[in-house]
Amino acid sequence: MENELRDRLNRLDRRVGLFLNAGIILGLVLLLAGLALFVAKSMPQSAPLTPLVQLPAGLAGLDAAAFVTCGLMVILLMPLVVLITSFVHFIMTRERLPLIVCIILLLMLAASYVLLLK
Amino acid sequence: MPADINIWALAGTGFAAGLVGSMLGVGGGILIVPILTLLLGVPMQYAVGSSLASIVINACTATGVYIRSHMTNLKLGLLLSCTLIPGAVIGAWLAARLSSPILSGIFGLLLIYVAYTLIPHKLKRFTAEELERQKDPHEEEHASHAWLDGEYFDPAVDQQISYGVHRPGTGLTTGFFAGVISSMLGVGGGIINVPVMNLVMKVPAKAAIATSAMLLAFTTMTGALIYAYNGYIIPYVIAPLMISVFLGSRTGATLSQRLRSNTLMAIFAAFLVLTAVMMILRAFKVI
Repeated sequence: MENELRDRLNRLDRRVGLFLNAGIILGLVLLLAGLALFVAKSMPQSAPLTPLVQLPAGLAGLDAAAFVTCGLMVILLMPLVVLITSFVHFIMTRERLPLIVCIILLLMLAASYVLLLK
Repeated sequence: MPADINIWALAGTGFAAGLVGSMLGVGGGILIVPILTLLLGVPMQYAVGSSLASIVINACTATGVYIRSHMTNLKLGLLLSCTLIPGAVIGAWLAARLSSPILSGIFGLLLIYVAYTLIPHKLKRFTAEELERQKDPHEEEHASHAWLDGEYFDPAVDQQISYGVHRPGTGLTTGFFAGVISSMLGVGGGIINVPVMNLVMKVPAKAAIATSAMLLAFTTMTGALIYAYNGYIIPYVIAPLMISVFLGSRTGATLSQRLRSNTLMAIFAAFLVLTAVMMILRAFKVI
């Protein structure tokens, strides 16, 4: 493999690794805060996930379910961060085929969620 | 949902799943789903949703580690995700429409397959000559997907390993089915992806395992979001599970270097067969 290509891939690997670590730590902190609030406030076990529009109010009101929902969403969106970081990287390095794959994946995910919300 | 679930039981389940999953290289879902359903009385769809969300954190942690050591073939992972993600959507859609007993039965059958794969006979180690021959630039069939080729440094042999990727079409096809099974049953698709990448696509075992962790993150993310949207993920259940899965997998990664994995695999395979029988009996309402 050419040195330049290898350096580019190494840079991408480092960036993706960094984002993943930061996201996991943030997600875990939010989950822990939510769990602590569940125990401290003796909240009902059956409380559902907080709808996204109500998240800011829930977080401000120290609602356990809102903290857990937020932590869960941060962790669930981490793979998407990998995809977006790769997408930006392949645009900058002008690698056509991996870029096309990233675009297909982004479109596919967007279509899945649009179908889901219907 | 059962009225009262002990938080420590959930934490223990997650820790055990993370620990064993990390030590044996299998997804924690094959432990989380049976324990939640058989021991804690959680309905199958809730157990699968919780399991998928817990696996995301495990897969993301593993991906972060593997990516920094350059073992993950990011381009291959992205390509295979093109069929895994639609598979995961269809799997979650199917699970919402199938009854708990049917899902339990299918899960029992899958456990028997996983127990079989734990018998140490599966992954192929390629020699340096074999890897070089696979990358032959004159090979017309390989040239069209040479952009997927990868390399990494293997500290075990103190050597830079370069490899070519073969038959991506087969990988894309099996990836779709791995996505369906993973999302429908709340397990990682690694039990399908790793052997296919290694034996069919000729990717070295370490790179196949690392790339599979990334695929797992994509599949379980898609599945978990659908389950969350359908209301099958409960904050009180998911918080202790995710935290303890993370802690368990960290501990397992450390312990696995000290324990004899063959003995552990044999014990775990026997446990899986027993659990499979219980899940199948449950499907037929015998227990």
